[in-house]
Amino acid sequence: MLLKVHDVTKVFGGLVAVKNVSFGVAEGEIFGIIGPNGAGKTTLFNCLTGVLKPDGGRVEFDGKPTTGLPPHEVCKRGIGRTFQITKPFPELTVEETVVIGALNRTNHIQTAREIALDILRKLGLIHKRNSLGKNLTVVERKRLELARALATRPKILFLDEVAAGLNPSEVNVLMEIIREINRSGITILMIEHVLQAVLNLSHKIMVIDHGEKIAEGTPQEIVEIPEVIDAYLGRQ
Amino acid sequence: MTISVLAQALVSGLLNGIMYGLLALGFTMMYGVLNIVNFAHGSQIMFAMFCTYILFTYYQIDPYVSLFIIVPVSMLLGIALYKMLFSKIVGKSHSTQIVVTLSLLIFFENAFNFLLGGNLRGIQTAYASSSIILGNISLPLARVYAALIALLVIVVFTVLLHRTDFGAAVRAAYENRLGALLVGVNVNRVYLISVAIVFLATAVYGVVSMPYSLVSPSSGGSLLEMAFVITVVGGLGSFNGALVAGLIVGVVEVLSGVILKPEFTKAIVFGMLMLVILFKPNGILSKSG
Amino acid sequence: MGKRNGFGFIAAVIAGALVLFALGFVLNEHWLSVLIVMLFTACNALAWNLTFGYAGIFSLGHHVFFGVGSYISTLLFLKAGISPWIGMIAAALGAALIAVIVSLVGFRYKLSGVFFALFTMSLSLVMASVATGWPWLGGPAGLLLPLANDPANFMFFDRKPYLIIILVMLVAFIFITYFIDRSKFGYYLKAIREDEQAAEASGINAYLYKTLVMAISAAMTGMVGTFYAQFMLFIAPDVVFNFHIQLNMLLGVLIGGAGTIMGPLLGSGIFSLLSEFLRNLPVEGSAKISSASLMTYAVILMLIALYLPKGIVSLRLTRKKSQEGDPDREYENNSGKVKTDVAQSS
Repeated sequence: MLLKVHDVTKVFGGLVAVKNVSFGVAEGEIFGIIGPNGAGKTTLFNCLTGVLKPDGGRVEFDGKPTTGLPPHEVCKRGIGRTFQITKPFPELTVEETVVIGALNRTNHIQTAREIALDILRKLGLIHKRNSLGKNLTVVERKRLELARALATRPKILFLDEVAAGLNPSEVNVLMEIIREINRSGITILMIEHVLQAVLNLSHKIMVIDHGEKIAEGTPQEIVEIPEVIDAYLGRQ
Repeated sequence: MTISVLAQALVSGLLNGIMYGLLALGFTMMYGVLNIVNFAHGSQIMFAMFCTYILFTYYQIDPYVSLFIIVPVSMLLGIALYKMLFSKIVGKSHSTQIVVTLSLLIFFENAFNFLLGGNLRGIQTAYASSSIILGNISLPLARVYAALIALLVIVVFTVLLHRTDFGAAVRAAYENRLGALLVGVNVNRVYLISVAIVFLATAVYGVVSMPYSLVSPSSGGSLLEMAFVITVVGGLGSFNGALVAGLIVGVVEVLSGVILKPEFTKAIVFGMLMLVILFKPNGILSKSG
Repeated sequence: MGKRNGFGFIAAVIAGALVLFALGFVLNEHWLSVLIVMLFTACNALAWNLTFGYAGIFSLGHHVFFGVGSYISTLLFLKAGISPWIGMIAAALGAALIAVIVSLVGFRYKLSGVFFALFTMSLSLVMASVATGWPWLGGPAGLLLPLANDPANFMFFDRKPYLIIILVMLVAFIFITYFIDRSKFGYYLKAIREDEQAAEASGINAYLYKTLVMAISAAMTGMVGTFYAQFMLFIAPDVVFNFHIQLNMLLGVLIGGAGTIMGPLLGSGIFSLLSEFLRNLPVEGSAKISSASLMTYAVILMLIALYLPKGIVSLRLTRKKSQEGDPDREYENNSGKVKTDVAQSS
């Protein structure tokens, strides 16, 4: 198991946002996390990536404990992440943005630039290399988010609702890109709301509702579980 | 350190504190309602002080009389500045607001310099040296009058805020601009009138403090500093906080001048501000730390 | 930003410095002093530009580093006979130390925006107050340095050596900015400025880098403080801890264009021109002329801040960056930082 999560809990005042969530992600896997809105998925991510400190539980990555480490340290250890609402660098160019990601592993601007341009080519953003972050379309921003995270040379990539706001054909393109990334050796942990995408892509899925894990299994297994159907459909 | 010295300090501090409350009120209103960090706040007061000086020195008009001239003039100035300037920086970044209002500060400062030069100016009214004696405590009349007038303004303002429709609109716009807009509140009108009120407050402060103060081009800056302290200590945007903080800072200031050296009062006051910023950035009245 | 521009840039800077140096032989004492004032104002602007323009840190108390620097070197000289050349290094270190403490405390408590600005501003007021009240520091009357020709102790009768020294400093500061701009450090600072959370997620220790840039900026400002003391031969709390020093830094950078090299130079140059130059004209009522021009400047400043938020440098369209016709719009940064309008790197 590349990522081991034991009993992670996060409390905000009186609200238990994440409750005793445990799961493991094997190396090379695409692991999906789904659940209704407000279920605590992003909070869980934030606990795993150092943005929040868990109130309970342990996280182990690549054999080493990472509970409570700050975000930059988490990144250095090999966990890259994207944000649900994209966070481009508004006044920096696409190229500069990805270079910054690449500088995670090198001190030489030239080397970083080569890595960055390579990634931009692969993600189809090379023609936008001199565009400023604030001038990009939503689709381009999502690609940039991905590019920057990839440039940090992660072992595992945490994706937070990358498909949100995209039309079905854009979703398909994105999913293909993610599949490619996974094929190149990077493990994927993705929160996703667009079910079509995550069910097609993931090897394993975990379902979260009200901060708790209510199911885990392969996509085929998951869709049959009554609690899962309840959580999604019972709300509508 | 006798009781009477302490009592004197306390009462003086409270008088100052009431003035500080008025000072902070205007600044807080700009921030709370329009979300503008107004670096020209002190300059607005300086403007009123300047006018008071001119009216007294060249036309022999008593400050408490010129109050009725200067307050309307100041409010008109405020409305003009709102239309030309403040309305344009309402949604902008804080650094833009700071640059723009700082420029206003520079403008006022140099206008003063241009017209009167850089020296300190003061006025000498007949009652300037009189004091009220209460037991062992001696209070300069001018300061007492100032505090009373300030108190009146504060009370009227508070009543306005909580008992009138306009006040409700202000509180709505302050809490949630979009929500207020949706409910039909004319936010622009609220902003305009709020700015007018701010300029009323600064005018009153400037005029009534002139009998016991000196004014110079740099007064705008020093007044601004105190406004910062009080508003942050009271909690940026909190009206009640501003009033309470005004009293606290007023008393702390005088006490530290009496217990330590007068030169160190600023160190104490701003040291206090630094601690508040670190540990209670939402003001001493807030629950979060 | 490639190496092609590198040598051209360095050559241009040195050429400019030589031109200014040549001016030193043409101008009389009086105007030479004015030029020197303009130059150290520019140095200060460059220092402040590092923290605000590159890292997005809005400090309103940078003049504390200036004041502390001037006091350190002056006290070392007056009380211990240590040469101000060494004192300048001590000033840099002392200012850097204060910056580190301010940063460690301020950033640890996640101060940002207006709060950090007020925190730093308060520090300078506290320092000024302490300097005023403590006789050993000279009290309100300040400290006087002797007039002498003593190069080993950073003292010259002639103004020209001061011109050379400040030019060297200015060129050094420009190069420091330039090298930071092109380095990993610079990239990381810009990332922090743009979006600190995204920067951290990309492996950047924001706390560390912000503290570092504050320290460097403070050291630079501290050194200018020492220069000031040696040039003016008089320092006092209300002079060296005067908010106008911070004002000049801020306005020079914001009007010229933050985050660039030319910006602070242009901005502070214009500001100095209007205040120093005009005030010193051998004309009747030059003080009034200066005040009137500053009033005009203030109005222009407001216009620039409203309609040209990236500063004057943004008027030049560079071939590299595509404009794409998108008007400058505010970027809402949810982390509560001072929302900034900052020019892109040059």
